[in-house]
Amino acid sequence: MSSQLWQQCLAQLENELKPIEFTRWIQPLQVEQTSDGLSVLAPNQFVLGWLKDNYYNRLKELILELCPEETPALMLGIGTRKVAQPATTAATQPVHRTFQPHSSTLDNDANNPFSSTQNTLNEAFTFDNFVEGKSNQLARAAALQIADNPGTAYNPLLIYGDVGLGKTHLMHCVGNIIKSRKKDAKIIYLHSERFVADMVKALQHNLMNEFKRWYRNVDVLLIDDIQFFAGKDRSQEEFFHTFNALVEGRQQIILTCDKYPKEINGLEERLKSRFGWGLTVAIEPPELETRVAILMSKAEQSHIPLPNEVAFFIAKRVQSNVRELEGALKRVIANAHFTGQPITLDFTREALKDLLAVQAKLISIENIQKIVATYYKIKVNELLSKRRNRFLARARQIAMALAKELTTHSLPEIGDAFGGRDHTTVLHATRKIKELIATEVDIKEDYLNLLRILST
Amino acid sequence: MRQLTLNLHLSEKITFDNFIVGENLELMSALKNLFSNDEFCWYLWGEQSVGRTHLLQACANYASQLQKKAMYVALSDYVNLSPDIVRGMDQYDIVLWDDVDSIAGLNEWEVALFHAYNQLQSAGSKLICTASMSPLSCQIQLPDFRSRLAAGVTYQIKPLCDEDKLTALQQRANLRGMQLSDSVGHYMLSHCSRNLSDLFALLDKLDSASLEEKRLLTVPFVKTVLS
Repeated sequence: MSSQLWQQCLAQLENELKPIEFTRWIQPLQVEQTSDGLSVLAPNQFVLGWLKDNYYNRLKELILELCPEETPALMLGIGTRKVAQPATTAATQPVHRTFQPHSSTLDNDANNPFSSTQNTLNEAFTFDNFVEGKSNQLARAAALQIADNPGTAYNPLLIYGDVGLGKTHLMHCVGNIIKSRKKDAKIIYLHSERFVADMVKALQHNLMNEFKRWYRNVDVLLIDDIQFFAGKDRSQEEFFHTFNALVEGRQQIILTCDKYPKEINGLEERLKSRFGWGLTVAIEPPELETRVAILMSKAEQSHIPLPNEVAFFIAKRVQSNVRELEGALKRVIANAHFTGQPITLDFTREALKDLLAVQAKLISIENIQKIVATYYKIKVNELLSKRRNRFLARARQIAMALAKELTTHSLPEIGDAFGGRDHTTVLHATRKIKELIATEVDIKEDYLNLLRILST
Repeated sequence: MRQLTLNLHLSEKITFDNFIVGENLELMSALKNLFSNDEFCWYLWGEQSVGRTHLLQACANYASQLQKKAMYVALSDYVNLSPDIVRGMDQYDIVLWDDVDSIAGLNEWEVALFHAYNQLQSAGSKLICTASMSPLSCQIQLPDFRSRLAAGVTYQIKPLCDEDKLTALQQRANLRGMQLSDSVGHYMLSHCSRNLSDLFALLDKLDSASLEEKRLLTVPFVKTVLS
């Protein structure tokens, strides 16, 4: 009934609204028949607000037109349609077993409301493209062991370290190896937040049995960033029981965390102690050579030839984590694709400006004056003075041209900042420098050097 | 209690075509091809009034033309609200967060956007963020979120040179039914702040003044208004 009525409303609205409006505001809506009437669910607050302001009255009219006899009440809310309750609701007890996935597991679980965490493994993460270095060799070795002996080697494996060092990559590697050997293994990867969100959903919709059945009936459970469990007591309690059931059933658990688990505030002591049952390994930030190797490996995956000197250049400038390193390489590759130029050192320096540049508005006229004075080994006072000897005048003109290019100050303001000169002097200086850059190599070099110093 | 109106400020008139490209040729090409690219996250940064909002809204409109579901959010408008409002974004094909660094230092917001980022990535959506600083120097405190922003493709939106600013001013004047001559434009650029927002504000002022006094936009008239 609700579905048919809603389809009629949709057809009518599609005729009335511009396609952009229909796609943006109406299509994402879901509808649900409740005992009180028709409940229209928006995915978030933005859409709900827009709906109330713009389409609520029209929807009410439409429903009245389409159902003049028994007009259902129209309610607006946020959310998604409630999932149908599966026929069987028995919670699963821990099963003692060796690692032998049941081929029937997936079929039975197909209707589980939490089954969207299925197939979340990223196949792109493999041991082949995980670059080993001193900083991560222990974690890699442990992951390999687990891939060969899931549920028995180390359970749980907890990998900790700063962001963007490859913890998630290693988790997926293990999952992918196990999956390749046992196609029907139920391997679930999720972020801790998803576990919390699913539990909230289970509590709201009275689906705790399905929740338990889903998460306790996995072969491998991979949970990322468990530090986000901190302070969420109910989720921790449920995770504690899930954890116990899995370890007891010899189902493999791999967890990641941004710090040594004992240092996480807001995490229950009993959980911290459970984490210590298996193996806890750290991943450190990669040293220069490993960063270079990572860049070379990623470039190879993208079929891009990356010269050694370029890899070293990027690796020296981006030191904190692999994610930022990857972002830098992506920028260089994007630029190479766009311009069709080979990746050289100069090319890379230019391409990375967008990533490494100093925020433009931090460049002040005063800063430009200081940098130019230092560059030409003169004093700022001389730059601002009335003296007109050729060398000083040229430096002053360059500084003015830079101030015009790098700031949004008006020409009168720039003139004022250079010892109270007129705006026409600034205009003359910028035109003069533009001419000289085209004809004199030294001036061009000075100007570009100063531009580079000021903007990176 | 009055219902809070969420103003999404999304104008359909804003397109890639009416963005003055200047030195942003590569960026424009990337944005026009964003749906044929595997990349998940783009990070665009630049100083104030460089066109960040214009580009994001143009992306949203472009996506809608391609029948993609797009959600544009000016985060700076919502920092005082609960970050719960960013939930459910993964139903969209593309999500556009304007001024992502306006929530820097607000832990709840940073965590919420971090989770939203992960959900969008898992859902296969696309994300474009704008900010005033590069991802390596922005003030986001949550390292997990900051590093993810830096993992995408970063572009600096380059400010327009004075000649392009003149074109932008003339285009805007045309939209308002005014004629802005080169000489008047050059006068504005050599005597006033060259920040595009300031220049647009001045143009608005000149528009009102010329209507009020029934005068054409000439250099002497601009001088009078400025004085």
